[in-house]
Amino acid sequence: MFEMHNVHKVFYQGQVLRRKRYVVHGATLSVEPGETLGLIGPSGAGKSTIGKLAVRLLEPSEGRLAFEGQDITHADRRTSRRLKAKMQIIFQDPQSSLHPRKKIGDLLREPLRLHRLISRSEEQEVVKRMLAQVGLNEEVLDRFPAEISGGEKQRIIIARVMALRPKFVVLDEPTSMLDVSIQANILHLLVTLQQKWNMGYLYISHDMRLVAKLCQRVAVVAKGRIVEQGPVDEIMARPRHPCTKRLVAAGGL
Amino acid sequence: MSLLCLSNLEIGFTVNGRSVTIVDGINFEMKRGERTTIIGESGCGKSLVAMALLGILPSNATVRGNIRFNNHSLTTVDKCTLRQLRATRIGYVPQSAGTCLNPVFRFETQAREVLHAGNGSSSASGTVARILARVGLPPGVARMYPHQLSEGMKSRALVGLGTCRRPELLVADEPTKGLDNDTKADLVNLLRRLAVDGTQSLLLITHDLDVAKTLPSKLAVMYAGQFVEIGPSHAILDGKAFHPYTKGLLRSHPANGLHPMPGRPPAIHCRPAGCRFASRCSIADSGCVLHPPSFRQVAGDHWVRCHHV
Repeated sequence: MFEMHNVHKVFYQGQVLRRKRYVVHGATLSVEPGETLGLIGPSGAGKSTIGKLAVRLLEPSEGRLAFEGQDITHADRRTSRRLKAKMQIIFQDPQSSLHPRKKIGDLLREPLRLHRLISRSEEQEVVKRMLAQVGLNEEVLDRFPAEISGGEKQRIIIARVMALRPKFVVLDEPTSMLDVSIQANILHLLVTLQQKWNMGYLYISHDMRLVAKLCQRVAVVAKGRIVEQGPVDEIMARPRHPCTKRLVAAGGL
Repeated sequence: MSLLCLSNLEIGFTVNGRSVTIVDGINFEMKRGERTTIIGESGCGKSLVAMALLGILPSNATVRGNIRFNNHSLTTVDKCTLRQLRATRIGYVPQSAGTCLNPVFRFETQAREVLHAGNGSSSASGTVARILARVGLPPGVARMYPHQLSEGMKSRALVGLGTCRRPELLVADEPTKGLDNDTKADLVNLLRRLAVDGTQSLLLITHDLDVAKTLPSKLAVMYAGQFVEIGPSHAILDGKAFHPYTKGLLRSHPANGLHPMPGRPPAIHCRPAGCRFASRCSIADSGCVLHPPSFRQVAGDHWVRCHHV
Protein backbone atom coordinates (compact mmCIF):
# COMPACT_ATOMS: atom_id res chain seq x y z
CA MET A 1 0.00 0.00 0.00
CA PHE A 2 2.76 2.43 0.97
CA GLU A 3 6.21 2.21 -0.55
CA MET A 4 9.39 4.16 -0.14
CA HIS A 5 12.08 3.40 -2.67
CA ASN A 6 15.75 4.35 -2.26
CA VAL A 7 14.93 7.68 -0.60
CA HIS A 8 17.74 10.06 0.31
CA LYS A 9 17.53 13.24 2.32
CA VAL A 10 20.34 15.77 2.30
CA PHE A 11 20.65 18.72 4.63
CA TYR A 12 23.21 21.42 4.08
CA GLN A 13 25.37 22.58 6.92
CA GLY A 14 27.27 25.81 7.33
CA GLN A 15 26.76 29.13 5.60
CA VAL A 16 29.96 29.40 3.58
CA LEU A 17 31.06 25.89 2.80
CA ARG A 18 27.57 24.35 2.47
CA ARG A 19 28.69 20.88 3.41
CA LYS A 20 26.35 18.10 2.32
CA ARG A 21 25.08 15.80 5.07
CA TYR A 22 23.10 12.69 4.25
CA VAL A 23 20.55 12.26 7.02
CA VAL A 24 18.75 9.45 5.22
CA HIS A 25 20.79 7.35 2.84
CA GLY A 26 18.82 5.08 0.53
CA ALA A 27 15.80 4.03 2.60
CA THR A 28 13.57 1.39 1.04
CA LEU A 29 10.53 0.10 2.88
CA SER A 30 6.88 -0.80 2.42
CA VAL A 31 3.80 -1.05 4.61
CA GLU A 32 0.71 -3.17 3.83
CA PRO A 33 -2.84 -2.53 5.11
CA GLY A 34 -3.31 -3.84 8.63
CA GLU A 35 0.40 -4.24 9.11
CA THR A 36 2.76 -2.52 11.54
CA LEU A 37 6.33 -1.95 10.45
CA GLY A 38 8.67 -1.03 13.27
CA LEU A 39 11.44 1.49 12.65
CA ILE A 40 14.03 1.21 15.34
CA GLY A 41 17.45 2.72 15.94
CA PRO A 42 19.52 4.85 18.31
CA SER A 43 18.68 8.55 18.63
CA GLY A 44 20.03 10.64 15.79
CA ALA A 45 19.88 7.71 13.37
CA GLY A 46 17.31 9.41 11.14
CA LYS A 47 14.17 7.50 12.20
CA SER A 48 12.03 10.59 12.59
CA THR A 49 13.31 12.04 9.33
CA ILE A 50 12.18 8.86 7.54
CA GLY A 51 8.79 9.23 9.25
CA LYS A 52 8.44 12.82 8.10
CA LEU A 53 9.53 11.92 4.57
CA ALA A 54 6.90 9.16 4.52
CA VAL A 55 4.00 11.57 5.15
CA ARG A 56 5.61 14.20 2.94
CA LEU A 57 6.33 16.74 5.63
CA LEU A 58 9.81 16.76 4.12
CA GLU A 59 10.64 16.63 0.43
CA PRO A 60 13.00 13.75 -0.46
CA SER A 61 16.26 14.78 -2.16
CA GLU A 62 16.27 11.60 -4.21
CA GLY A 63 14.11 8.50 -4.50
CA ARG A 64 10.47 7.67 -4.95
CA LEU A 65 7.35 7.41 -2.77
CA ALA A 66 4.23 5.50 -3.75
CA PHE A 67 0.82 5.23 -2.10
CA GLU A 68 -1.78 2.72 -3.30
CA GLY A 69 0.18 2.12 -6.50
CA GLN A 70 0.39 5.79 -7.39
CA ASP A 71 3.65 7.78 -7.47
CA ILE A 72 3.31 10.60 -4.96
CA THR A 73 6.89 11.90 -4.88
CA HIS A 74 5.96 15.08 -6.70
CA ALA A 75 2.20 15.20 -6.17
CA ASP A 76 0.58 18.56 -6.95
CA ARG A 77 -1.16 20.63 -4.31
CA ARG A 78 -4.62 19.25 -4.86
CA THR A 79 -3.47 15.63 -4.70
CA SER A 80 -1.32 16.42 -1.66
CA ARG A 81 -4.33 17.77 0.15
CA ARG A 82 -6.30 14.61 -0.52
CA LEU A 83 -3.31 12.48 0.48
CA LYS A 84 -2.86 14.29 3.76
CA ALA A 85 -6.17 12.90 4.99
CA LYS A 86 -5.08 9.39 4.04
CA MET A 87 -1.56 9.60 5.48
CA GLN A 88 -1.24 10.93 9.01
CA ILE A 89 1.43 11.25 11.67
CA ILE A 90 1.32 11.20 15.47
CA PHE A 91 4.26 12.90 17.16
CA GLN A 92 6.22 12.12 20.27
CA ASP A 93 5.32 15.06 22.44
CA PRO A 94 1.56 15.55 22.91
CA GLN A 95 2.21 18.87 24.64
CA SER A 96 3.60 20.54 21.55
CA SER A 97 1.13 18.96 19.11
CA LEU A 98 -1.93 20.82 20.43
CA HIS A 99 -2.44 24.56 20.13
CA PRO A 100 -2.30 25.79 23.75
CA ARG A 101 -4.91 28.53 23.28
CA LYS A 102 -7.59 26.49 21.59
CA LYS A 103 -10.16 24.46 23.49
CA ILE A 104 -10.24 20.69 23.04
CA GLY A 105 -13.59 20.92 21.25
CA ASP A 106 -12.15 23.32 18.65
CA LEU A 107 -9.04 21.20 18.27
CA LEU A 108 -11.22 18.19 17.46
CA ARG A 109 -13.30 20.15 14.95
CA GLU A 110 -10.23 21.49 13.17
CA PRO A 111 -9.37 18.48 10.96
CA LEU A 112 -13.04 17.99 10.05
CA ARG A 113 -13.28 21.56 8.81
CA LEU A 114 -9.89 21.61 7.09
CA HIS A 115 -10.74 18.57 5.03
CA ARG A 116 -14.43 19.57 4.64
CA LEU A 117 -15.53 16.13 5.71
CA ILE A 118 -18.94 16.93 7.11
CA SER A 119 -21.43 19.77 7.38
CA ARG A 120 -21.44 22.02 10.45
CA SER A 121 -24.73 20.60 11.67
CA GLU A 122 -23.24 17.16 12.04
CA GLU A 123 -20.11 18.39 13.82
CA GLN A 124 -21.36 18.11 17.39
CA GLU A 125 -22.42 14.52 16.84
CA VAL A 126 -19.17 13.50 15.16
CA VAL A 127 -17.00 15.13 17.81
CA LYS A 128 -18.83 13.16 20.50
CA ARG A 129 -18.26 9.95 18.56
CA MET A 130 -14.57 10.77 18.18
CA LEU A 131 -14.24 11.22 21.93
CA ALA A 132 -16.06 7.99 22.71
CA GLN A 133 -13.75 6.12 20.38
CA VAL A 134 -10.67 7.10 22.35
CA GLY A 135 -12.37 6.59 25.72
CA LEU A 136 -12.79 10.17 26.90
CA ASN A 137 -15.97 11.82 28.09
CA GLU A 138 -17.50 15.06 26.95
CA GLU A 139 -16.42 17.22 29.85
CA VAL A 140 -13.00 17.71 28.26
CA LEU A 141 -14.47 19.65 25.32
CA ASP A 142 -14.44 22.97 27.16
CA ARG A 143 -10.97 22.56 28.59
CA PHE A 144 -7.63 23.80 27.31
CA PRO A 145 -4.77 21.39 26.56
CA ALA A 146 -2.93 22.54 29.70
CA GLU A 147 -5.85 21.35 31.82
CA ILE A 148 -5.71 17.69 30.81
CA SER A 149 -3.03 15.06 31.41
CA GLY A 150 -0.40 13.88 28.93
CA GLY A 151 -2.22 10.60 28.29
CA GLU A 152 -5.49 12.44 27.62
CA LYS A 153 -3.70 14.81 25.25
CA GLN A 154 -2.32 11.89 23.28
CA ARG A 155 -5.86 10.45 23.11
CA ILE A 156 -7.15 13.74 21.71
CA ILE A 157 -4.41 13.67 19.08
CA ILE A 158 -5.32 10.10 18.17
CA ALA A 159 -8.99 11.10 17.90
CA ARG A 160 -8.07 13.96 15.57
CA VAL A 161 -5.98 11.73 13.34
CA MET A 162 -8.46 8.87 13.24
CA ALA A 163 -11.41 11.13 12.37
CA LEU A 164 -9.90 11.44 8.90
CA ARG A 165 -9.98 7.64 8.48
CA PRO A 166 -6.36 7.48 7.32
CA LYS A 167 -5.04 4.37 5.57
CA PHE A 168 -1.46 4.89 6.72
CA VAL A 169 -0.27 6.40 10.00
CA VAL A 170 3.27 7.16 11.14
CA LEU A 171 3.59 6.80 14.92
CA ASP A 172 6.70 8.71 15.95
CA GLU A 173 7.43 7.41 19.46
CA PRO A 174 3.83 8.05 20.53
CA THR A 175 4.39 6.99 24.14
CA SER A 176 7.93 7.97 25.08
CA MET A 177 6.74 10.99 27.05
CA LEU A 178 4.07 9.02 28.93
CA ASP A 179 4.01 6.84 32.06
CA VAL A 180 4.20 3.06 31.77
CA SER A 181 0.60 2.42 32.74
CA ILE A 182 -0.65 5.04 30.29
CA GLN A 183 1.71 3.77 27.62
CA ALA A 184 0.04 0.37 27.71
CA ASN A 185 -3.40 2.01 27.44
CA ILE A 186 -2.46 4.15 24.45
CA LEU A 187 -0.78 1.31 22.55
CA HIS A 188 -3.79 -0.92 23.21
CA LEU A 189 -6.05 1.79 21.79
CA LEU A 190 -3.89 2.19 18.69
CA VAL A 191 -3.94 -1.56 18.00
CA THR A 192 -7.72 -1.77 18.48
CA LEU A 193 -8.28 1.06 16.01
CA GLN A 194 -5.87 -0.51 13.54
CA GLN A 195 -7.76 -3.78 13.55
CA LYS A 196 -11.06 -1.97 13.14
CA TRP A 197 -10.06 -0.01 10.05
CA ASN A 198 -7.22 -2.12 8.67
CA MET A 199 -4.68 0.71 8.73
CA GLY A 200 -0.98 0.38 8.03
CA TYR A 201 1.31 1.72 10.77
CA LEU A 202 4.93 2.81 10.63
CA TYR A 203 5.89 2.62 14.29
CA ILE A 204 9.05 4.51 15.27
CA SER A 205 10.65 3.56 18.56
CA HIS A 206 13.94 2.92 20.30
CA ASP A 207 12.56 0.21 22.56
CA MET A 208 12.93 -3.26 21.04
CA ARG A 209 10.48 -4.76 23.54
CA LEU A 210 7.67 -2.51 22.31
CA VAL A 211 8.52 -3.21 18.68
CA ALA A 212 8.53 -6.97 19.35
CA LYS A 213 5.09 -6.63 20.94
CA LEU A 214 3.42 -4.47 18.32
CA CYS A 215 5.05 -5.03 14.94
CA GLN A 216 5.05 -7.82 12.40
CA ARG A 217 8.17 -6.59 10.61
CA VAL A 218 10.99 -4.34 11.69
CA ALA A 219 13.58 -2.16 9.96
CA VAL A 220 16.70 -1.18 11.88
CA VAL A 221 18.17 2.24 11.14
CA ALA A 222 21.74 3.27 11.90
CA LYS A 223 23.39 6.46 10.69
CA GLY A 224 20.73 7.14 8.09
CA ARG A 225 20.79 3.69 6.51
CA ILE A 226 18.43 0.79 6.94
CA VAL A 227 20.90 -1.88 8.01
CA GLU A 228 18.55 -4.79 8.59
CA GLN A 229 14.92 -5.52 7.76
CA GLY A 230 12.70 -8.54 8.24
CA PRO A 231 10.05 -10.29 10.35
CA VAL A 232 10.29 -9.35 14.03
CA ASP A 233 10.61 -12.93 15.33
CA GLU A 234 13.48 -13.65 13.00
CA ILE A 235 15.40 -10.50 13.84
CA MET A 236 14.83 -10.93 17.58
CA ALA A 237 16.10 -14.51 17.36
CA ARG A 238 19.03 -13.93 14.98
CA PRO A 239 20.13 -10.28 14.89
CA ARG A 240 22.97 -9.91 12.37
CA HIS A 241 24.04 -6.27 12.30
CA PRO A 242 25.98 -5.14 15.43
CA CYS A 243 23.52 -2.28 15.93
CA THR A 244 20.56 -4.67 15.95
CA LYS A 245 22.39 -6.97 18.36
CA ARG A 246 22.84 -4.07 20.73
CA LEU A 247 19.20 -3.06 20.55
CA VAL A 248 18.00 -6.62 21.12
CA ALA A 249 20.39 -7.13 24.02
CA ALA A 250 19.61 -3.76 25.63
CA GLY A 251 15.93 -4.50 26.28
CA GLY A 252 15.10 -1.82 28.79
CA LEU A 253 18.33 -0.34 30.11
CA MET B 1 19.73 9.59 63.26
CA SER B 2 17.87 10.04 60.04
CA LEU B 3 18.97 12.58 57.47
CA LEU B 4 15.53 13.39 56.20
CA CYS B 5 12.22 12.76 57.87
CA LEU B 6 8.81 13.62 56.47
CA SER B 7 5.93 13.22 58.88
CA ASN B 8 2.24 13.61 58.06
CA LEU B 9 3.12 15.80 55.12
CA GLU B 10 0.12 17.37 53.41
CA ILE B 11 0.28 19.68 50.40
CA GLY B 12 -2.73 21.64 49.25
CA PHE B 13 -3.50 24.49 46.91
CA THR B 14 -5.94 27.36 47.14
CA VAL B 15 -7.53 28.06 43.79
CA ASN B 16 -10.30 30.67 43.46
CA GLY B 17 -10.78 30.68 47.23
CA ARG B 18 -11.29 26.92 47.36
CA SER B 19 -8.65 24.73 48.87
CA VAL B 20 -7.86 21.25 47.62
CA THR B 21 -5.48 18.76 49.19
CA ILE B 22 -3.33 17.07 46.59
CA VAL B 23 -0.83 15.12 48.62
CA ASP B 24 -1.50 13.73 52.09
CA GLY B 25 -0.27 11.26 54.65
CA ILE B 26 3.31 11.16 53.45
CA ASN B 27 5.52 9.59 56.09
CA PHE B 28 9.01 8.44 55.44
CA GLU B 29 12.55 8.54 56.62
CA MET B 30 15.90 8.50 54.88
CA LYS B 31 19.18 7.64 56.54
CA ARG B 32 22.52 9.04 55.51
CA GLY B 33 23.88 7.32 52.39
CA GLU B 34 20.51 5.74 51.57
CA ARG B 35 18.74 5.82 48.24
CA THR B 36 14.99 6.29 47.93
CA THR B 37 12.97 6.17 44.74
CA ILE B 38 9.44 7.52 44.43
CA ILE B 39 7.50 6.13 41.47
CA GLY B 40 3.98 6.91 40.35
CA GLU B 41 1.94 8.15 37.41
CA SER B 42 2.10 11.77 36.38
CA GLY B 43 -0.30 13.84 38.41
CA CYS B 44 0.01 11.67 41.54
CA GLY B 45 1.94 14.41 43.35
CA LYS B 46 5.47 13.01 43.40
CA SER B 47 7.11 16.20 42.15
CA LEU B 48 5.21 18.21 44.77
CA VAL B 49 6.93 16.23 47.50
CA ALA B 50 10.32 17.22 46.08
CA MET B 51 9.25 20.82 45.67
CA ALA B 52 7.95 20.95 49.24
CA LEU B 53 11.20 19.82 50.73
CA LEU B 54 13.15 22.31 48.65
CA GLY B 55 10.73 25.10 49.52
CA ILE B 56 10.01 25.94 45.90
CA LEU B 57 6.24 25.43 45.82
CA PRO B 58 4.16 28.24 44.32
CA SER B 59 2.83 30.85 46.75
CA ASN B 60 -0.75 29.54 46.75
CA ALA B 61 0.37 26.19 48.14
CA THR B 62 -0.03 25.25 51.78
CA VAL B 63 2.17 22.69 53.48
CA ARG B 64 1.13 20.96 56.70
CA GLY B 65 3.08 18.41 58.67
CA ASN B 66 6.78 18.40 59.21
CA ILE B 67 9.88 18.02 57.06
CA ARG B 68 13.03 17.57 59.07
CA PHE B 69 16.47 17.68 57.48
CA ASN B 70 19.22 17.00 60.02
CA ASN B 71 18.24 19.38 62.82
CA HIS B 72 16.35 21.84 60.67
CA SER B 73 12.63 21.86 60.19
CA LEU B 74 12.32 22.82 56.54
CA THR B 75 8.70 23.93 56.87
CA THR B 76 9.46 26.63 59.45
CA VAL B 77 13.09 27.52 58.77
CA ASP B 78 13.84 31.16 57.81
CA LYS B 79 14.60 32.05 54.21
CA CYS B 80 18.27 32.75 54.79
CA THR B 81 19.01 29.37 56.36
CA LEU B 82 16.96 27.59 53.71
CA ARG B 83 19.00 29.31 51.02
CA GLN B 84 22.20 28.27 52.71
CA LEU B 85 20.98 24.67 53.01
CA ARG B 86 19.99 24.50 49.35
CA ALA B 87 23.27 26.02 48.27
CA THR B 88 25.48 23.56 50.07
CA ARG B 89 23.66 20.60 51.60
CA ILE B 90 20.63 19.76 49.47
CA GLY B 91 21.29 19.37 45.73
CA TYR B 92 18.56 19.44 43.12
CA VAL B 93 18.39 18.07 39.60
CA PRO B 94 15.22 19.52 38.07
CA GLN B 95 12.79 17.93 35.64
CA SER B 96 13.06 18.63 31.90
CA ALA B 97 16.67 19.61 31.36
CA GLY B 98 15.69 21.46 28.20
CA THR B 99 14.00 24.32 30.00
CA CYS B 100 16.02 24.60 33.19
CA LEU B 101 19.13 26.25 31.87
CA ASN B 102 18.89 29.92 31.04
CA PRO B 103 19.11 30.20 27.24
CA VAL B 104 20.95 33.54 27.21
CA PHE B 105 23.91 32.63 29.44
CA ARG B 106 26.86 30.37 28.75
CA PHE B 107 27.06 27.21 30.84
CA GLU B 108 30.02 28.52 32.85
CA THR B 109 28.12 31.62 33.98
CA GLN B 110 25.30 29.47 35.28
CA ALA B 111 27.68 26.98 36.86
CA ARG B 112 29.51 29.72 38.73
CA GLU B 113 26.23 30.88 40.18
CA VAL B 114 25.77 27.43 41.70
CA LEU B 115 29.38 27.22 42.86
CA HIS B 116 29.28 30.60 44.61
CA ALA B 117 25.77 30.41 46.02
CA GLY B 118 25.71 30.89 49.76
CA ASN B 119 29.41 31.72 49.90
CA GLY B 120 29.14 35.47 49.66
CA SER B 121 32.64 35.57 48.24
CA SER B 122 34.40 33.89 45.37
CA SER B 123 35.90 31.00 47.30
CA ALA B 124 34.37 28.44 44.98
CA SER B 125 34.61 24.85 46.15
CA GLY B 126 35.43 23.65 42.66
CA THR B 127 35.81 24.89 39.15
CA VAL B 128 33.53 24.67 36.17
CA ALA B 129 36.08 22.44 34.45
CA ARG B 130 35.93 20.00 37.33
CA ILE B 131 32.11 19.83 37.18
CA LEU B 132 32.29 18.99 33.50
CA ALA B 133 35.00 16.39 33.97
CA ARG B 134 33.02 14.68 36.72
CA VAL B 135 30.01 14.13 34.47
CA GLY B 136 32.12 13.25 31.44
CA LEU B 137 31.54 16.33 29.29
CA PRO B 138 34.31 17.97 27.23
CA PRO B 139 35.74 21.21 28.73
CA GLY B 140 34.53 23.17 25.70
CA VAL B 141 30.96 22.91 27.04
CA ALA B 142 31.79 25.67 29.53
CA ARG B 143 31.74 28.28 26.78
CA MET B 144 28.57 26.97 25.15
CA TYR B 145 24.98 28.15 25.34
CA PRO B 146 22.25 25.63 26.26
CA HIS B 147 20.92 25.42 22.70
CA GLN B 148 24.30 24.11 21.53
CA LEU B 149 24.00 21.09 23.82
CA SER B 150 22.03 17.94 23.10
CA GLU B 151 19.27 16.83 25.46
CA GLY B 152 21.52 14.17 26.98
CA MET B 153 24.37 16.63 27.52
CA LYS B 154 22.03 19.07 29.23
CA SER B 155 20.85 16.34 31.60
CA ARG B 156 24.46 15.49 32.40
CA ALA B 157 25.31 19.13 32.94
CA LEU B 158 22.40 19.49 35.36
CA VAL B 159 23.48 16.42 37.31
CA GLY B 160 26.92 18.05 37.47
CA LEU B 161 25.41 21.26 38.86
CA GLY B 162 23.25 19.40 41.35
CA THR B 163 26.18 17.45 42.77
CA CYS B 164 29.07 19.93 42.53
CA ARG B 165 28.74 21.18 46.10
CA ARG B 166 28.78 17.60 47.40
CA PRO B 167 25.36 17.88 49.02
CA GLU B 168 24.36 15.39 51.67
CA LEU B 169 21.05 14.91 49.92
CA LEU B 170 20.49 14.98 46.18
CA VAL B 171 16.91 15.36 44.96
CA ALA B 172 16.57 14.29 41.32
CA ASP B 173 13.14 14.89 39.79
CA GLU B 174 12.70 12.71 36.69
CA PRO B 175 16.20 13.31 35.37
CA THR B 176 15.66 10.78 32.56
CA LYS B 177 12.33 11.95 31.14
CA GLY B 178 12.23 11.90 27.34
CA LEU B 179 15.76 10.56 26.90
CA ASP B 180 16.48 7.54 24.72
CA ASN B 181 17.65 4.30 26.29
CA ASP B 182 21.38 4.75 25.74
CA THR B 183 21.44 8.23 27.21
CA LYS B 184 19.17 7.08 30.01
CA ALA B 185 21.45 4.20 30.99
CA ASP B 186 24.35 6.58 30.88
CA LEU B 187 22.68 9.06 33.21
CA VAL B 188 21.61 6.37 35.66
CA ASN B 189 25.21 5.16 35.86
CA LEU B 190 26.31 8.71 36.49
CA LEU B 191 23.79 9.11 39.32
CA ARG B 192 24.86 5.81 40.80
CA ARG B 193 28.52 6.75 40.70
CA LEU B 194 28.07 10.26 42.07
CA ALA B 195 25.69 9.22 44.77
CA VAL B 196 27.97 6.53 46.17
CA ASP B 197 31.12 8.59 46.42
CA GLY B 198 31.09 10.06 49.88
CA THR B 199 28.04 9.97 52.08
CA GLN B 200 25.48 11.28 49.66
CA SER B 201 21.87 10.24 49.79
CA LEU B 202 19.69 10.25 46.72
CA LEU B 203 15.97 10.91 46.51
CA LEU B 204 15.00 9.95 42.99
CA ILE B 205 11.61 10.72 41.53
CA THR B 206 10.67 8.88 38.36
CA HIS B 207 7.91 7.09 36.52
CA ASP B 208 10.36 4.83 34.74
CA LEU B 209 10.41 1.31 36.14
CA ASP B 210 13.62 0.47 34.27
CA VAL B 211 15.42 3.29 36.04
CA ALA B 212 14.01 2.22 39.40
CA LYS B 213 15.23 -1.30 38.72
CA THR B 214 18.79 -0.34 37.84
CA LEU B 215 19.20 1.79 40.97
CA PRO B 216 18.44 -0.50 43.92
CA SER B 217 16.87 1.48 46.71
CA LYS B 218 13.96 1.87 49.02
CA LEU B 219 11.00 2.16 46.68
CA ALA B 220 7.90 4.21 47.44
CA VAL B 221 4.92 3.77 45.12
CA MET B 222 2.60 6.74 45.03
CA TYR B 223 -1.01 6.79 43.85
CA ALA B 224 -3.47 9.69 43.94
CA GLY B 225 -1.45 11.71 46.46
CA GLN B 226 -0.62 8.88 48.88
CA PHE B 227 2.08 6.32 49.33
CA VAL B 228 0.44 2.96 48.70
CA GLU B 229 3.49 0.78 49.11
CA ILE B 230 7.02 1.22 50.47
CA GLY B 231 9.59 -1.54 50.37
CA PRO B 232 12.92 -2.67 49.00
CA SER B 233 13.00 -2.13 45.22
CA HIS B 234 14.29 -5.62 44.41
CA ALA B 235 11.39 -7.21 46.29
CA ILE B 236 8.70 -5.02 44.73
CA LEU B 237 10.02 -5.13 41.18
CA ASP B 238 10.76 -8.86 41.21
CA GLY B 239 7.25 -10.09 41.83
CA LYS B 240 6.79 -9.57 45.56
CA ALA B 241 4.60 -6.50 45.24
CA PHE B 242 1.52 -6.49 47.47
CA HIS B 243 -0.62 -3.55 46.46
CA PRO B 244 -2.95 -4.15 43.47
CA TYR B 245 -1.88 -0.81 41.96
CA THR B 246 1.80 -1.73 42.10
CA LYS B 247 0.95 -5.08 40.49
CA GLY B 248 -1.02 -3.34 37.75
CA LEU B 249 1.81 -0.92 37.14
CA LEU B 250 4.27 -3.79 36.77
CA ARG B 251 1.96 -5.69 34.42
CA SER B 252 1.68 -2.67 32.13
CA HIS B 253 5.44 -2.63 31.64
CA PRO B 254 6.56 -3.79 28.17
CA ALA B 255 8.76 -6.52 29.65
CA ASN B 256 5.75 -8.01 31.48
CA GLY B 257 3.32 -8.09 28.59
CA LEU B 258 2.06 -4.49 28.29
CA HIS B 259 -1.32 -5.17 29.91
CA PRO B 260 -3.25 -1.93 30.30
CA MET B 261 -4.82 -1.11 33.67
CA PRO B 262 -8.54 -0.31 33.41
CA GLY B 263 -9.91 3.11 34.42
CA ARG B 264 -8.01 6.17 35.49
CA PRO B 265 -7.02 7.83 38.77
CA PRO B 266 -9.76 9.79 40.60
CA ALA B 267 -9.96 13.54 39.92
CA ILE B 268 -8.26 15.67 42.58
CA HIS B 269 -11.42 17.47 43.70
CA CYS B 270 -13.55 14.34 44.11
CA ARG B 271 -11.37 11.67 45.63
CA PRO B 272 -13.34 8.78 47.16
CA ALA B 273 -13.72 8.46 50.92
CA GLY B 274 -12.50 4.86 51.00
CA CYS B 275 -9.55 3.34 49.18
CA ARG B 276 -8.55 5.62 46.30
CA PHE B 277 -7.74 2.69 44.05
CA ALA B 278 -11.04 0.84 44.70
CA SER B 279 -12.72 1.81 41.40
CA ARG B 280 -9.90 0.26 39.34
CA CYS B 281 -9.16 -2.65 41.61
CA SER B 282 -10.15 -6.22 40.73
CA ILE B 283 -10.28 -7.42 44.34
CA ALA B 284 -12.13 -4.42 45.83
CA ASP B 285 -15.30 -5.05 47.86
CA SER B 286 -17.84 -2.84 49.60
CA GLY B 287 -15.50 -2.33 52.56
CA CYS B 288 -12.83 -0.84 50.30
CA VAL B 289 -15.25 1.79 49.00
CA LEU B 290 -16.32 2.85 52.49
CA HIS B 291 -13.20 2.75 54.63
CA PRO B 292 -9.79 4.14 53.81
CA PRO B 293 -7.14 1.48 54.36
CA SER B 294 -4.35 2.16 56.82
CA PHE B 295 -0.67 1.89 56.04
CA ARG B 296 0.33 -1.47 57.48
CA GLN B 297 3.62 -3.28 57.88
CA VAL B 298 3.68 -6.60 56.02
CA ALA B 299 7.36 -7.45 56.39
CA GLY B 300 10.44 -5.94 58.04
CA ASP B 301 10.68 -2.85 55.89
CA HIS B 302 7.68 -3.35 53.66
CA TRP B 303 4.53 -1.27 54.14
CA VAL B 304 1.28 -1.49 52.19
CA ARG B 305 -1.95 0.54 52.14
CA CYS B 306 -4.58 -2.10 51.31
CA HIS B 307 -7.39 -3.94 53.15
CA HIS B 308 -6.68 -7.23 51.43
CA VAL B 309 -3.06 -7.74 52.36
